[in-house]
Amino acid sequence: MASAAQKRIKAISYAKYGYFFILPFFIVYFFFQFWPLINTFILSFHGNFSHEDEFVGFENYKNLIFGGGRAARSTHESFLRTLGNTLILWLGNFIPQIILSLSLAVWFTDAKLKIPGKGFFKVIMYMPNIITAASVAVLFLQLCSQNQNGAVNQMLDKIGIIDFDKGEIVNFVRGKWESRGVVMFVQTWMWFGNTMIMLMSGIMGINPSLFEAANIDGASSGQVFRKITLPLLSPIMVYTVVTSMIGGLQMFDIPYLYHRGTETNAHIETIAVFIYDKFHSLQPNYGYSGAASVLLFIITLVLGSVTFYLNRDQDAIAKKKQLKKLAKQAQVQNKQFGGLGI
Amino acid sequence: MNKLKRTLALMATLVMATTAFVGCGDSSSSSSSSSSSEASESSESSEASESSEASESSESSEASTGDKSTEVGAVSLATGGDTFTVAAWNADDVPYLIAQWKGCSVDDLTAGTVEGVNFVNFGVGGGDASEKYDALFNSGDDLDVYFCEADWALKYINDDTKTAPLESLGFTDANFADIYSYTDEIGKDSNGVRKGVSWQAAAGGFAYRTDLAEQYLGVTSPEEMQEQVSDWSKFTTAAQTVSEKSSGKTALADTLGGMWQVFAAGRTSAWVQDNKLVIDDSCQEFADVAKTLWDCGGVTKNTQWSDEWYASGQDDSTMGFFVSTWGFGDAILAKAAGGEGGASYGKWNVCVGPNEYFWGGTWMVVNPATDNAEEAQSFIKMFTVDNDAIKEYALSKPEYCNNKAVMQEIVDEKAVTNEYVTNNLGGQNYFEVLHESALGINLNGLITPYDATIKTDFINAVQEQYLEGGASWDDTQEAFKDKVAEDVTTLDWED
Repeated sequence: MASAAQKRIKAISYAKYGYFFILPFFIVYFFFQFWPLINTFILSFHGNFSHEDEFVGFENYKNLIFGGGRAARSTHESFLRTLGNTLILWLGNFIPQIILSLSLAVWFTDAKLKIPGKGFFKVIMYMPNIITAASVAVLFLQLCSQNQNGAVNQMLDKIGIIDFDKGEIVNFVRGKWESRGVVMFVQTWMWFGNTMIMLMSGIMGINPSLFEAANIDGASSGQVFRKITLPLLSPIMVYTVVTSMIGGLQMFDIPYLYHRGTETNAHIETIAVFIYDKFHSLQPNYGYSGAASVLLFIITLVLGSVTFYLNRDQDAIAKKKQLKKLAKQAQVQNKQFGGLGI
Repeated sequence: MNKLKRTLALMATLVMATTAFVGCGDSSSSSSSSSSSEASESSESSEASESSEASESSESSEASTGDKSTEVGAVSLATGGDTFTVAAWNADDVPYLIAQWKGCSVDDLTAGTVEGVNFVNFGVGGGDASEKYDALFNSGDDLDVYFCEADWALKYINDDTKTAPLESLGFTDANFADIYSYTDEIGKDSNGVRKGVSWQAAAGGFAYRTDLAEQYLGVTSPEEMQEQVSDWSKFTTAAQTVSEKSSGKTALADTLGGMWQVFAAGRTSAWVQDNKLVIDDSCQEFADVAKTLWDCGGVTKNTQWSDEWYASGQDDSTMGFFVSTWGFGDAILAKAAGGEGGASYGKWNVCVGPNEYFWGGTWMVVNPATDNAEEAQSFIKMFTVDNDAIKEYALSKPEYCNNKAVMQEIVDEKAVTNEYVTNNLGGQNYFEVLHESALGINLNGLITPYDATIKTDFINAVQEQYLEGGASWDDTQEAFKDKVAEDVTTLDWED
């Protein structure tokens, strides 16, 4: 029997208030996030433009993946093109970004290197991330204007790489690889600070005695990096790769905003821009938008799982296997033992 | 202390929860609560405005002559609603229209203190408005009159659940005898029923730099200039001359997009016939004109609405801009001239150009579910039928209004509506040119709901494939077809 005091304690338990506090979030989430999410799946099985209410089964998926008549084929080609653009843009910003952030993170956390003003640099490098993408896009459109007023073009002219007098100009806005290069640069510049902070926290989580021991044993900094930092950083690395990949596949703002005039640039049109353009037009194709979104979700899911699979702890798996093997052997021996029929 | 904490937490939760639903509330609820408290006042003011309208309309009916009629019949839609709701995507025009109609000030209107009228302003670009309207229709909120842009007006005009025939408001053909015919063609649905009417006409002309024109083409008046650019082959020759004499520094045309806007209005077949895309000879004709100009520097490589585009009006790199009625102020031409005191301010003139065209424009349509048919009738009547009121609006806004008789009058009077614009044009009576252009536009049977999309796809294909990519015309055509097929998924194709 609970005493009166215990009963009172139970009566004033605040646990239930916790649910009240999180309730608003779930209500809002249900209406503004969860339902649209479900609706995307529903829409992907319905027709386009004036056939919005018709149920068409997997036709949108079929058209996007395999093509068909002219309408389906051109949509299919655009889908593949934007998917390709997305991968190119993601790789082009992820590789330089991870190299840059990893080296910076290692340098900033190295006890031997006494870099002055670490805090200052960390803040400065994180800065680009807090500027809204719209401002960044405008900024780079101004810098990279493809005429004689563009700052970058002027600089190239001054140092003699191109010559304005011969009418040479770099098409940073409309050119295929030029515009892609700018977008890759912008994405790298915006996100390397963020990745660096994340990797630094990962490195600082490694037991310092390991580094000390390595130093005492006379390991070179390269050896320390390869044998200690990288292996112990792998959980954070996986996290970085996965988040960056999801972010990269959904890359929208800069590719969408980095263009002159009213049309987006086809060379940097990512899959997210494709989805947006499909429903945001005078002849909206909700079906294709929905189907492309679902396909993007599946692609993300697969790539994410592959990353996790490749990065699983090899030692632990080997150990597990060995244990299993031992257990099996023991069983077999037992059986043999039992088989002898003693 | 605990109680305080609990209350605070509860309040915070409630506030959070309510803010989440802010977007769900309809704006009319707030206006209705205030209207009940000041009901007596509103009834007074509406009476006053009605009586003033009545006197105005009786005056104008006396003044009117000929076959045009200002008599409107009885309305057959619902009447008696509390609030007359007008929706548009920006506040460039509607507040001024309502202000004149209601006899109130624009400031009062935007502040929401005018009783009986609710102006729903989406605050987005014209291209995004259609989405907002769909949302508004889905929500079922009060909506009486709304505004459509030429690009997508047909989407609503062809839909009987979204627009009512103007006949149901008592309007007849005779009421609209004076409007420019092209605006009437856009306002009719696929069965020829008039459902939308515009108070403005957006005819355009070719604005050019007088000093450069004299230097390179030796012309001294808009008439001589018109001689030089009156069709596309002459335009091409003129562009080549300018480019040659300026050693490639000056282009005759501002952008490819501007040229296409003009050229497309001169097409003689509709883009879509029997649900199939039609690519006629004029398409190749345009592509070839564009290529000649592109290669000889007769058109700049700028894109419309970019900073370079505006700057090109001052650094002598562009000699002419294609400008429509609404573009003579800071929207295009005055800004391109650098504004008052700008490098080329006051050095411009306008002529009709290679062919007559229109660019933009807004159509008023009526929601069939309106509950204020009488107000809708008097509102639309004031700006499209009632000549005196139209003239008043044309001069005060100022606006190029959709009424031949009124505009002819204004042209004849040489009334200066906007000094900023007129000074930029060296005092030219530019409404005269626009009037001529507006009369020449013929769109009979050429309008399809897909025009905006198809036109954009075409110019992109020409620029990317034919001009920049050096592709053949056949390949360009294929790319164009592919793009249209992708964007308008319901068209039929032979292959």
